[in-house]
Amino acid sequence: MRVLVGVKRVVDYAVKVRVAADKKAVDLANVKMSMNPFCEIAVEEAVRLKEAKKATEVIVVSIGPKAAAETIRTALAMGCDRGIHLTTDSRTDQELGPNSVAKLLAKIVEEESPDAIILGKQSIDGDFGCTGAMLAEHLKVPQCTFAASIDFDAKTVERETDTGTEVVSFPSLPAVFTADLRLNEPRYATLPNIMKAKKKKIDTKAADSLGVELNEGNTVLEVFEPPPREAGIFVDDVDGLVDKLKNEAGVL
Amino acid sequence: MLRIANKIPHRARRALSSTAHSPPASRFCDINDLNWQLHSVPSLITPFDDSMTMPILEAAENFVNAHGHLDPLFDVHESKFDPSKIGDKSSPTASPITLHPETKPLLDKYVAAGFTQMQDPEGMNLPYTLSCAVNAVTSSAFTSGVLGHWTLTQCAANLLAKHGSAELVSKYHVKLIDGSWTGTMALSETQAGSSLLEITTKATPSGTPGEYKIKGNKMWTSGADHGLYDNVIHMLLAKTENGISLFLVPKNLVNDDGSLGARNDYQINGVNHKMGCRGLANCYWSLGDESDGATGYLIGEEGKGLNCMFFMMNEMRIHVGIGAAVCGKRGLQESLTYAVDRVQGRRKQPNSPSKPIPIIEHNDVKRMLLQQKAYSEGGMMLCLFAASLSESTAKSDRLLLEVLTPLVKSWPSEWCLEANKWAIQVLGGYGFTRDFPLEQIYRDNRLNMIHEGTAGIQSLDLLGRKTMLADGAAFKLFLSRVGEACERHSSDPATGTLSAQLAFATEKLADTTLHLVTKMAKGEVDEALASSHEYLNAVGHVAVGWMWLEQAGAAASNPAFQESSFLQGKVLAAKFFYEHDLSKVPEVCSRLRNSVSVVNSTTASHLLH
Repeated sequence: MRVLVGVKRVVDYAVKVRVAADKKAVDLANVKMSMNPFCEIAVEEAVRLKEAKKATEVIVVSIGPKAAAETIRTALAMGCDRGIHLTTDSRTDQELGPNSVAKLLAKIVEEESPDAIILGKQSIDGDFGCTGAMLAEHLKVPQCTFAASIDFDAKTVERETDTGTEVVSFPSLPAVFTADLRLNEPRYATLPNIMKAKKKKIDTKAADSLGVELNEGNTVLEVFEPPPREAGIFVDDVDGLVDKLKNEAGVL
Repeated sequence: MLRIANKIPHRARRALSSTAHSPPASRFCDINDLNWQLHSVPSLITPFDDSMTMPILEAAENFVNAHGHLDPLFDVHESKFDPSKIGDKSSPTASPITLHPETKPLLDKYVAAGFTQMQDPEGMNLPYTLSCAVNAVTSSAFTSGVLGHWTLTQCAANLLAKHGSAELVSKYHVKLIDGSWTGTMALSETQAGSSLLEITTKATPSGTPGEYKIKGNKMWTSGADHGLYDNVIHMLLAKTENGISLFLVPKNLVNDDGSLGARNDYQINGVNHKMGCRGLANCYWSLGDESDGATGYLIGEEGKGLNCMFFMMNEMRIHVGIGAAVCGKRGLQESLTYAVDRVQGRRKQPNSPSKPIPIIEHNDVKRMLLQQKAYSEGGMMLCLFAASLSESTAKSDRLLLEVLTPLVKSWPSEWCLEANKWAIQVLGGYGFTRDFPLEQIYRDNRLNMIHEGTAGIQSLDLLGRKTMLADGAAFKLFLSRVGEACERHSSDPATGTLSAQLAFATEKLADTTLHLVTKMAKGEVDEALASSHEYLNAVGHVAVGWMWLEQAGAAASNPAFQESSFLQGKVLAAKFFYEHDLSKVPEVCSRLRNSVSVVNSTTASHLLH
């Protein structure tokens, strides 16, 4: 089995983002960027398949600016075999949306014909959570989203739902899987593997050279910070609290 | 799952933070600063693929972010010593010492992440300076010294590789670098600390070539036992009839096929109850109590033990300097984290809105933060510079390193402890509690003025030996390198004043050095050396002033200077150091030159009445 993993370079989870002066986007100047946490889980799952000798090759793909090569290197240091970098100057947090990414990935899948495609369930910048599903539709293959565990022998996936998990089966490979929080705990790359990753191959090509029309169909009008939380009030007693909940909050 | 689950509330907390300032990216360390120091200051560049530096430093940062929360455990739960288990030989690991149960998993993860292989010539073979920077990151979260198990092991392995016979190397070296066994340095004895010539442990040839029987005792051996790994390999000093010699003494003897044999005849008699650095048990022990001696193997030649050992000691001295600078920087990160969140007091300016402000905006708090920055980032650069010199094969670099080694050992350990004093002060009462990590960091850092040669020993080494080394050529080289730097930065308006100040201090220092050296040559050794500690600090301030001049120069000439508060902060910290610290050097030099030492005029009876 050959596995293709998609990874995205996003603002690091720990960064407190600021709105840019023109209110059109989040300010990315001098901000720490890292691999999207859910993509880390996808990479880990693929690497574990390789280590379990179920996968023969793991290919990592990223679409993004020149610096996204660092994100690919991180995935290579975690254990992927080779990388594909589709370069673009579009902002991947808002200009290049899920459908464009899905179409680009579909092109790569057609070229590489992997048996399994594993993505994160969503990225922590755009937070759309639909790239995986769109990719499966473009490819006309089964999709198993929000995976909490994947069993390739039994062809079943345990999926996260709002009320717990459900087990679904998929008829055949190739199929698209998206990784949820509980799928695994991703590893940190070791120092020797970081050194070795330097020697692994990354194939770089321009995203707009694939003949895909990149049109999202939506436009960002304004980006603004959430309103600051207002100060609370003290109520005199339980009756006062119940009154507020009933008459002001309307939740009772 | 845990890892990402930890991330999300963390992110949410940041987003809800009500103050205008973002806290530092990590409360442990600052890899951007280390990366900048390694790449922006010309003298530190070593031949290495620059694009790899940041991923490697990030790997180290990941390690401390993932495990740094454990360190207070090692501080609170000091090692336990059970006397009933002295002499327990039931297994290779059997030991009277028990460390906190999280110790071994942490040490194993450190090995698994590859940190012990950084200097392996057959493996990663990282430049020494870069491996020092990585150590600076990993140790930032572990001031309890728990990772010292591997630092000492690394030093023991390097010592063995450099001076040991091929047979000893093949038998022991691999196990020391692959994380199977640990190593120590066993020099001191109860009656012989700073003065190793007083050691009484004796080694006599056993009859087998290279093998000796050793009888005696050792004191202050860190990691002498732990019960965690199958073997402990001591690099131990003992006297033969030809003088002090170096021996390899294993806890468990090793058979020719590499399997473990009988337990060697030594016993751990107890652990020292330390003020800090409690993650590493520090032991006193005795050899040869039950037989004609513990088995040891000669490393190098008989009588050359101290020479061999000083190879390792110099490396350890750079480690101590880095450890101290790291504690200083950690204190800064912790107090910055507090100062952006703690809202207290209002602006004193007329007409400013009377809303309480985060304390980082108060001038006296800024002073305390700048002071920490000046000491810790200046101290770190001095250590990295010394590390880069030790990589060099150029004779002049080695000579310069001779002068810098006592400074690297002593300056950060004294002044970054001072930095920690101000870190505690920023937190006020909270800084004095165990709910915040600063009191632990202060206690842990306090060791650095003491071990691997006390501040006093370093000052005697500097004034009594290094000033006259190679007929004074080493010290002249130091002065001329500082002078060159002053020259180089004199024309830039941002650093011109700093250059002039440093040149003036250096001139005064040269003059005073000549005076003190002449005094010693005339036989007034006690009078001259009475000022050695003040002299050490004066030279240290000039050396760190030099490092700050290099940093300020690199920052000011960077095209991004106008937009970068990081680069502007470097120049401001340099200016602060010059105003508050370097400015004292000319005055101290004049006094050392012109007055008779009060210390030398004081006798023991003046102090005892």
